[in-house]
Amino acid sequence: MPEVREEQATQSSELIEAAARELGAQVERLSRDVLICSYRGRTVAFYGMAGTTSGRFGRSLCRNAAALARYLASRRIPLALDGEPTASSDVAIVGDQAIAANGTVPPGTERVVAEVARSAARAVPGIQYATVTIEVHEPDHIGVRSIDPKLRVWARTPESDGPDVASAVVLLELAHG
Amino acid sequence: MTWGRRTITRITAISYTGPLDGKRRLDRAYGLIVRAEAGNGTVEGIGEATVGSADRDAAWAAIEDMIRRLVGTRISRGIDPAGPLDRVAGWTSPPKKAPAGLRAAHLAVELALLDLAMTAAKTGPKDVWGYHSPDRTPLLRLPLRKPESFLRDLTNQQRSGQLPAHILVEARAGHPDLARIRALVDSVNDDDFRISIIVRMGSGSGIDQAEQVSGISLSPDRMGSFLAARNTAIRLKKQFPTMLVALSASGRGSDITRTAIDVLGTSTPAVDLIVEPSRRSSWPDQLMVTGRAGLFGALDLGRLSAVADRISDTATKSLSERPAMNTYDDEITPLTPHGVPKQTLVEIEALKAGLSTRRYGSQLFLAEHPALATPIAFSGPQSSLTSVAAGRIAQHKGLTRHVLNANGLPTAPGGWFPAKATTDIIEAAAELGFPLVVKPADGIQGHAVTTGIRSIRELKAALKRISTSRYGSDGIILESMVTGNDYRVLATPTEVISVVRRDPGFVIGDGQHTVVELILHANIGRRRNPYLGRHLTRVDDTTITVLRTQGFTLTSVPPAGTSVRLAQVANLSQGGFSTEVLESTHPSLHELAIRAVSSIPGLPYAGIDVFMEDHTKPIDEQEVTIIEINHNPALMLHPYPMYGPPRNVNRHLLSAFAAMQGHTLEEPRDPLTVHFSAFGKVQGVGYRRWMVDAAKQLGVTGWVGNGRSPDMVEAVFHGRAVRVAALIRLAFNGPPGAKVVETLIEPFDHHATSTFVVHRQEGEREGNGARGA
Repeated sequence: MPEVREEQATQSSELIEAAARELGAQVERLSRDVLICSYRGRTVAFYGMAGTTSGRFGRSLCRNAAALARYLASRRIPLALDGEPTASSDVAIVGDQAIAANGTVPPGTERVVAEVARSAARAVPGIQYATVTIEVHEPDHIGVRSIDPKLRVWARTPESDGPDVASAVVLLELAHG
Repeated sequence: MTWGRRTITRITAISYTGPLDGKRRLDRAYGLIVRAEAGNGTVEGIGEATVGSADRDAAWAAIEDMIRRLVGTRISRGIDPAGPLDRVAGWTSPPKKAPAGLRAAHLAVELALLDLAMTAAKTGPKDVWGYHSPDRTPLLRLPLRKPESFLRDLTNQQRSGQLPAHILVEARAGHPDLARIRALVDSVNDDDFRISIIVRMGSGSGIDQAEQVSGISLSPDRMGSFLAARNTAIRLKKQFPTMLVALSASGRGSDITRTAIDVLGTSTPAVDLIVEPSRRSSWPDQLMVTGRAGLFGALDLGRLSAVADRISDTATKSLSERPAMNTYDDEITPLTPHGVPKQTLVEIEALKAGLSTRRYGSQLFLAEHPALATPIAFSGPQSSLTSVAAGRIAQHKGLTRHVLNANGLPTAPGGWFPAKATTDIIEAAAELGFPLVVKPADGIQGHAVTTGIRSIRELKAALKRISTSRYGSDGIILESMVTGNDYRVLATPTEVISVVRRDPGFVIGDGQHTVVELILHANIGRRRNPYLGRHLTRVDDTTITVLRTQGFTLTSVPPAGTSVRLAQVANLSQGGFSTEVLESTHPSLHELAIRAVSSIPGLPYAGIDVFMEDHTKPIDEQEVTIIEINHNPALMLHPYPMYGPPRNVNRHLLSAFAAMQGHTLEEPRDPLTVHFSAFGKVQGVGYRRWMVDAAKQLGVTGWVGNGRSPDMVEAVFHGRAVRVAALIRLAFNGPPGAKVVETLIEPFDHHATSTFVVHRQEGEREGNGARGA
């Protein structure tokens, strides 16, 4: 009796599969977006780029902008201001590390931008990695606009930073998780 | 006219639950149905009235008293059709200005007796009272404040074609400005457009004011009597021939009430207009079936059994019952009128354990404590430790089968096929043999699942059912149909927390009640269970088929002690029963469930559905099949089993998650005192007034006031934990106009008040809290 269907993998799932194989993990594809990866006795299921440490609470909270803002404020994390920002950047946070960033921020603010992004991602329960969109407003306000636990922006860039982000996720889940 | 000479042999009163007016209120209305029988059940009469939450108990007590007095009395021959009930022993009209509960009780019983009398005489209202055809019109209510601008708007809308040329506007009896309003209306009315002001007549008031305006509106609800409304209309018309007499109803109630109003209007020439009530859409519409003499059709007990919540039956003192069901502190059910929301129990346990909670949506909350580095968060019944990948595997039946098989866990023989592989599926079916089960791999809640397939023709029909559903794009599962008892095992990767056996629904005959009456009684019992009360036995085609296989119909009276099955499968939604059996479960089933949860990485707990013959025996001595792994398990099933010891799984899970971070939960405290903050659009929308009303209804003491910022209201609540939690859940919605983004609830030590009051800020006027701030 058949149990598994042949399917075209999604882009984000392909990135994770490649990263897991590169690490030397055993990879089993269950469907176009679901993988099971085993490495040194640890087994993790991935749905797209989301592994075992990525839960639904974080996704639901991040979808609700007003609720996310209130929650981040309760953690004393600075929020983006209303109005047009002078600069913005998507920062890929995996664990404690800023892995990749796009956009441009004023010179000298990179470290603060990464720190704000890191603390925002780590504050949300059920999130170990996410894209944090940071906005810079004049004169010197740096705040969080949104958080995307699905890391979509990196799944769309398989030729540039996407593989690095996927590798960091796989390493966090399989080697450090 | 000949009236049947009958003795009333039995009267049954049934209360049913009506809807709330929106999700933001606690009070609701109830329907009261009275069914009177004569000639040992050969003739039936029914009546209905509605009553609000506050008057419900009084109405019920009055009905019980009335029906006890009426059983055994006779309805005589030759009674004046205008007042047949005068000859029913012990029957009197309600006193003037009677309380609402007594009026409702009287109306329901009176209608049942009238219906019984006419049915016994094989006649109907047309034959007895004649027929005419009054106009039907909507009715608008005159506001107390700014009536002039209200009337001006109406006139403008009439002239622009948005409203009919003739409008009826009802003023409350005792309205202070009727003479001025009459003058105002006279000045705007002309030959083409007209507004008629009428006065609402209460129990004993309004006639004196009717002369100042165009007429009067009568309502059997308000008068507590169908006959009194009819007689009053006739009397008024005689006395004031030009007075407009309108008939109105509350808009609540089923088709029984609507028919009563229609009969009253069409059989009473003195009634000029019947007001079309604005219906509350979710009220049960059809509670009777047509096809007999009298005022109404026959009562449809099957439909009523889905909403009934109380019954009083003069035929029997008590129904022979199955073994005594668990009884629960029933406070939680009435306090959460939309059913107990899914996260309420875990939030109650968090607050009882001294944690703070923050809520961001009806299904999104977290619990915090200074000793917890990471909050314990929940999305629906899932904790934040449940990974989305695990959820994806568990909700996909094909992936679940694959993972279970790969880990050597037992699944039903069968396979997972591509959606359009009909030929392969048919070949596999021949190999497996019948009976079979077909389900969409991505289906939920049993949608498009077909069980008991016994032929290729049935298999093709089942596949067609999937292809025309919204499911099946991820493939189709074909499996042999397995037998055995149905168990739900709630387990973590290290332990089993609860095992519940689910049995198909049944009722036990007593030699007196019909099957449908037994179902109605059983449902009323289930309603006392906070979980099963949401899963009542539904009377549908499947029920009728299952009864037929046992030689019964809905109206059969099963012999005393006979068990009558109501469903083939142990589905709690089909009247199934739940029994907690953890203590007698064989350790091998524990081990199997723990392996099943562990087989999907990222599942901190799950509900494992297992089919097996006997949970007390080792699994290797019997056929055992894992049917499903639920990553969204119904956590309310376990604290509220119908039989067996309840398990506080919510406290258990919270405790386990806290322990992962080295924190031990405090011993539960009850009653609770908490500080509450709501953020969002909560000022200027009547939030404080709404909260005072809600707290008083729930018996919660404390205070509410505006917060330090314009987007904040804060409060202190004190009371039983279940009541405080109910208020907290309601407060996330708040009154109409409020939009709450976050609620924060923190333990609070100080509490001294014995009521619930508004704390006003310095300089704030008294009354602001009551009108919006």
